[in-house]
Amino acid sequence: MANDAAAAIPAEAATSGAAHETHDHPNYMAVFWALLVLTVVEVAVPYVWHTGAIKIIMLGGLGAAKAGLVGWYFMHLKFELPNLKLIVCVPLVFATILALGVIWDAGALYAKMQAAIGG
Amino acid sequence: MATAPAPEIAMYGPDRVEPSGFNVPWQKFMMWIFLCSDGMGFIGLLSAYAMLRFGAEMWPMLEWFQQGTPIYESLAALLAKDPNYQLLPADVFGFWGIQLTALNTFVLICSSVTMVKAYSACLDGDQKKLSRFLLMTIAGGVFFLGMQAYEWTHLIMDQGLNVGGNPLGATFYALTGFHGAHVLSGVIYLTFIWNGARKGRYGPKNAVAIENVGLFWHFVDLVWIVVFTVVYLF
Repeated sequence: MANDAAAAIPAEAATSGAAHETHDHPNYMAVFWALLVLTVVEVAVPYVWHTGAIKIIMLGGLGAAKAGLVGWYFMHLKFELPNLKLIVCVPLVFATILALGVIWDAGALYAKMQAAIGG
Repeated sequence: MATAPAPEIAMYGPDRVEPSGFNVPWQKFMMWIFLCSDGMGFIGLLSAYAMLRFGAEMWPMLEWFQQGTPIYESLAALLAKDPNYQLLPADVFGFWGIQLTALNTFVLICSSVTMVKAYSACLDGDQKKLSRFLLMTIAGGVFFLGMQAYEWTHLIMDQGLNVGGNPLGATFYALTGFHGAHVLSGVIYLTFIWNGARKGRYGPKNAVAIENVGLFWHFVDLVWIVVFTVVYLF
C-alpha cells in the first residue's frame, strides 16, 4: 500500500526539496518587517492598556498573527498540500481548544471560590 | 493531476530520499510529526501557566516574595502608592527587563530570516551563502541563550526571584527553561549541519536536511513568540 502511494506521487515532488522548487520563494524581508512592526506594537500594548479585555484581545491577536506568519511563510505551510496542513493544524487546534477549556474552568473555579468566601 | 512513477532514489547515505506518500520526503514529514508532538508539550505547559494565573487573585502577589528582596520592595512600593494597583509580571521583570526580552525576540526573528535565506541558498546551490547564513543563524541562537543566561542570573541573584514559594517563578523558569533547552538543541543541530555545509555536503538534491533544521528553528521562534506574549506581556 505504501508502495502504491509512493508510485502515485508526482515525480518532481518525490525528490528531496523538489516540492519547494516548484514555487517562488515568498518575500522573506516583507515577512521580517511585518514581524518587527507587530513586535513593536505588541510591546507597546501593556503600556497603553494596563489590564482589561482590550489588552488581552490585542496581545492574543498580535501573538497569533506573528506565530501565523512564521508558520505560514518561514515554515512554508503556505506551499504544502492540504493533507500535510491538516495533519499539522487539526491536532494543534484541538489542543488549543482543550487548553482554553481548562483555562475557562480555572477562571470559573476561582469565581466560585471568591463567591463562597464573599469576596 | 499528472503522476509518474517514483524516480530512482538513493536508499543509503546523505542523499537518501524516500517519498512518504504525502508529497513530501519522509524526513520532512517526520519532522512535522515531531514538531506537532513537541507543540503539545508547550501547549500543556502554557495551559498549566494560564490555569494557575486565572486561578489566582493577582499575578504576582506580594506575599509570594520574601520580605527584604528587591522584588518585594518594588512591588510593595507600587501598592503603597495605589492599594488598588493590579500587579503584573511586567512589574517583576521591570521596564528594561521587558525591553531586553523584546530585543531577544527581535534577534530570534532575525535568525529565522537568516535560516530561510540559508535554505534558499541551498536550493540555489550557493555553498558560500548557505554556510554564511547558517553561521549567522547559530550566532543568533547563541546570542539568545547568552541574554537568557544574563536575565536568569539577574532575576535570581539580584532580584530574588526563585523557583520555590511562588508560582510566578516556577512557571517562568519552567517555560523559558524548556524553551531555552530547545534553542540549545537547535544551536547544536545547526552546528552539525553547518559543519557539513562548509564541506559542501548539501545542495539542491538533499536540501531537505537544511529544510528540516529550518523547520525546527522556526518552531523554536514560533514558540518563543507565544511564550514572550503570554509570560512577559499579558
